[in-house]
Amino acid sequence: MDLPLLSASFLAFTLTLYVILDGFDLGVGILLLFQPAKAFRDHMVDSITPTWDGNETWIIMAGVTLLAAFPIAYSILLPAFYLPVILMLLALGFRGVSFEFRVQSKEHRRAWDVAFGVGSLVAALMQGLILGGLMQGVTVQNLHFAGSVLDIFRPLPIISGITLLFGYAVLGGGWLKLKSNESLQHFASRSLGVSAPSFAVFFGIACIYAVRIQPGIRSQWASHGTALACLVGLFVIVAGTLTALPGKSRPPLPFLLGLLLFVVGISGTALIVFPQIVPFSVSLWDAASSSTSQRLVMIGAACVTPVVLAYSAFAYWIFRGKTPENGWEA
Amino acid sequence: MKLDPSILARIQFAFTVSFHIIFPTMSIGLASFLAVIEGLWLKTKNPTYLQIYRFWLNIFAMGFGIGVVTGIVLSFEFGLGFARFAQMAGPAIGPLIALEVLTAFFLEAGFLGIMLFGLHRVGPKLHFFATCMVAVGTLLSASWILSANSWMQTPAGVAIHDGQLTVVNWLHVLMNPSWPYRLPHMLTAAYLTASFMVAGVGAWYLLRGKHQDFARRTVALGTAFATVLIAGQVFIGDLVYGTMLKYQPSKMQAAEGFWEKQSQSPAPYYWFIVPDQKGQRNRFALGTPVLGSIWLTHSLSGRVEGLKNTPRDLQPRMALVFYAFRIMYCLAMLMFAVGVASLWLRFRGTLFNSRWFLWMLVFMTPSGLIATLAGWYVAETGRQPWVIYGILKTVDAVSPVPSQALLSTLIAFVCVYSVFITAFLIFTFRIIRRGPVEAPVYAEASGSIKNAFRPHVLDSPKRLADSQFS
Amino acid sequence: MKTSNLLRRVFGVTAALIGVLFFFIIVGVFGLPLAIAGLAVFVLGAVVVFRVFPTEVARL
Repeated sequence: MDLPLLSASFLAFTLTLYVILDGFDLGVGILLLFQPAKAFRDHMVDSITPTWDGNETWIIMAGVTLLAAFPIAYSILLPAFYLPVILMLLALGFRGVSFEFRVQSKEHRRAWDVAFGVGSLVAALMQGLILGGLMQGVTVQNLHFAGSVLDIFRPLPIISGITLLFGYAVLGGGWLKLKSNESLQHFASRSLGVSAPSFAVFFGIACIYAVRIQPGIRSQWASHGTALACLVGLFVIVAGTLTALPGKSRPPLPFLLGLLLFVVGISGTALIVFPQIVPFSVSLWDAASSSTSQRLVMIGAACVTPVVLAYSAFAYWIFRGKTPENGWEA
Repeated sequence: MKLDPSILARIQFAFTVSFHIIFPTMSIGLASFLAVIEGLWLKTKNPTYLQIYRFWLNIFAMGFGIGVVTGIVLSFEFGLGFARFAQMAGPAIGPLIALEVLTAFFLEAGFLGIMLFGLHRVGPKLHFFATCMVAVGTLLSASWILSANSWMQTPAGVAIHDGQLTVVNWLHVLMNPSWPYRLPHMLTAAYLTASFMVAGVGAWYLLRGKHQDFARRTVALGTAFATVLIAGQVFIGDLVYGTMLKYQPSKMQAAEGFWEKQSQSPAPYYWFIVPDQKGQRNRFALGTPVLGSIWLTHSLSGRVEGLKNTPRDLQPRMALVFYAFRIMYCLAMLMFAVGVASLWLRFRGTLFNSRWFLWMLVFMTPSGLIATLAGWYVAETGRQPWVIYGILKTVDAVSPVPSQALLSTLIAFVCVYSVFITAFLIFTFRIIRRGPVEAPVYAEASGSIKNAFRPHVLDSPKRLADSQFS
Repeated sequence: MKTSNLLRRVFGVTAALIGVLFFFIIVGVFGLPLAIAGLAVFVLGAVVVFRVFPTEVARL
C-alpha cells in the first residue's frame, strides 16, 4: 500500500473541499463590496453565517495534513510563500471576526462589512498567488527553501490571484442565487455575468503563461496533452454556459456549474502537479514522513472523515432552503 | 539595524500564541458553562437560566471566532517561522494536530452554527446536544494540542536518525510523561477562568443593584465552581511541578530563583528577586524564611537546587520563568482565598451582601486569564533553549526567512490583533453595560428530537429582537 | 454587641487560618496521601456548605 499516495489523495481531497466550500464564502464576501444596500448585505452575510466555520476548517486540515504526511514539503513551501500566507491569515482573520463584530455594532456595521469584503478579497487573491507560485516553481536546495520571499510577486502568481478572485466570485454568485430571496437574485445574476467570463479569460491567460515560463508544465502538457486539452475545453464550455444563462434560470444551476468549473480546474492542476508535491523539484515520496506517521493520519482520516462529513451535511440541512429575510434570530 | 531572525521569529510566535491562548481558555470554560446552564434550563424550566445562556452566548461567540482565526495562524506559523522545527517534529506532532482538527475542530464548527443560530430552528433537546458537542469539541481540542505541546516538553516514543524523527510508539508520543498532568491543569485553568469571569460580572451587577436574579445565580454558580476547582488546581499544580522537576529540572530551578547548586538550609521562599543571568547570582532577593524548604522540599530543612546545576548554555532566562511562575502562583493563592471566603459567606448567609467580597470578585474577573498566560510563559520560557527538549534547540529551528520579512509581519500581527482585542473588549463591555435581555415569559422548554426536524419557534422573537438591539 | 463582634472576628480569623492550613495540605507539604485526603475533605466540605446553606437567590 503506497502510503504517500494515499496521504496525497487525502490532502487533495481536503484542499478541494476547502476551495469549494470556503470558495463561495469568500465569493459572497467579495460581492459584498459591490452591494450598496445594507439590508441586502445583511442578507448576503446571513446566507453563509451558520456554516462558514466548518468550511474554513478544511484549510487547517490541509495544512496540518501537509505537516504530518509531507513535513519536508511543509517546511519548504511555507517559508517560500511566507508573505502571501501571512497576508491570507490576517485577511481570513478580519473576515472571521467580522461575522461576530458586525452584528454587535449598528453604527459601524458598514466598516465591518468593508473589513469582511476586503478580508475575503485579499484572502482569495493570496490563495491564487500561492497557487501561481506553486506552478511557477520554488527554489529548493537540499530539501530546504533557498529562494527569496519576494519571488512570489511575479506575473504568473499575480494572474493566478486575479483568476481565483473571479472564480470565487462565480461560486459566491451561484450560492446567492441558491439561497437568497427575490431581490438579490438580480444582483447575483449580474455578478455572474461579469465574474464568469473574467474567470475564463484569466484562467486562459494563466494557463498559457504558465506553459511559457515553466518547463515542468510544458513537459506535463507533452505527456498528458489530450486530457489537459479536454479539461480546458470543458472549462470554456461551462464558463460560456454560465455567462449565457438567462437571469431566471433554475436556482441551483449556476452554483453547480461553478462547482463544475472548479472541479475541472482542480483536476487539471492535479494532473500537472502529480507526482510532485513541490513542483517541480520534490516528489511526494521525497517529502514524505515515515510510514508510522502516514499510517496514523490515514487511519484517523478514514475513521473520522465520514463522521465529519455526516454531521457537516446535517448542519447544512438544518439551515436548508432560502435564507430568512430577517436573519436567523427571527 | 541588524536584527536576529531567530529572536524575531520567537517574538512573533510568542506574541501570536499568547494572544491566541486567551480565547480558547475562555471558550473551553464558557462552552462547558453554557452546557451546564442550558441543562439547568431544560431541567428546571426557570427562564433566568435562558437569560444567563443568551447573555454569555454572545460573548462566547465573539471569543470563539477570534480563537479560531488566531488558531489558524498558529497551524501555519510552525512552518512560517520555524520551518526546521516543522520538518523535524512534523512526523510526531503533525498527526496529533491532524487528529485534533478531525475530531475536535470540525465537531465544534459543525455544531457551533446550530448553537448560535439554531435556537429557533431546532427543538431544545437537539440544541442542547449541539451545545454539549461544542463543549466536548473544546475538551478534545485541548487534549490533542496539550499532547503535542507536552511532547515538545517531554519527548517520547521517537527514534532519531540523521536528523529525522521516526515515531516508534504512538502511545508513548500521545501519553508522554507530562501530558497526564498538564492536561487536567490546563482544563481546570480554563474552567476557573470562566468561573471567575461569570462571578465577576454577576458581582458587578449586584454592586449596582441591577439584574438581581441573573446576578445572584451567576455569582452563586461561579463561586461554587471556582471554590472546588481551585482546590483541585493547586493539587494538580503540585503534581505538574513534581513532574517537571523530574523531566525539566532547569525549568524549576529557574522558577524558584536560586542560583547555588545547593541553597542554604532552611531555604526561603523568594517573592522578589533581581537576577543577574550573566553573573549567575541575584543582585537582590526578598523572601519568606523557611517557607521555601516547606513548600519545595516538603521538609523543614531541605535544600533547593539552583540554576547553576544546569550548564550555562542550557539555562533558561531566570527573570522570565521566576516572575511568570510567581504571578501564576500568587493568583492561585488569591483564588483559593476567595473560594474559602465564599464558603464562609455562604455559611453566614451574606454571600450577596458583602460589598468587600463582591468588589473582590469584580477585581478577580480576569484572574484566570492572567494566571493561565503566566503559566504558559513558565512552560515555554522555561523550556528554552530547547524547542523539543533535549533534541532540538530553538535557534536551530528557524526558517530561512530574512529579518525584514519577520519584522514587517510581526508589526502587521500586532496592529491587526490590536484591532481584534479592542473591538472584543468594547463590545463585551457594551454587552455587560446593556445587561441580560429580559427573559421572555412564555419561553417553553419542551420538545423532542422529532420536533427538531420541524422548524419550531419557541418564544416570541420580536420581543427579543426589540430589547436586544434597543 | 461588642462580644458578638469580637466572636465574629475570632471565627473569621480561625476560618482564614483553617483555609491556609488546607492550602498547605493540598499543596502536598505533608505528603501525597494527605494531600489527596485533604482535597477530598475540602471538596466534600464545600459541597456540604453549598447544600446546607442555600444562598438567598431571589424567587421569580
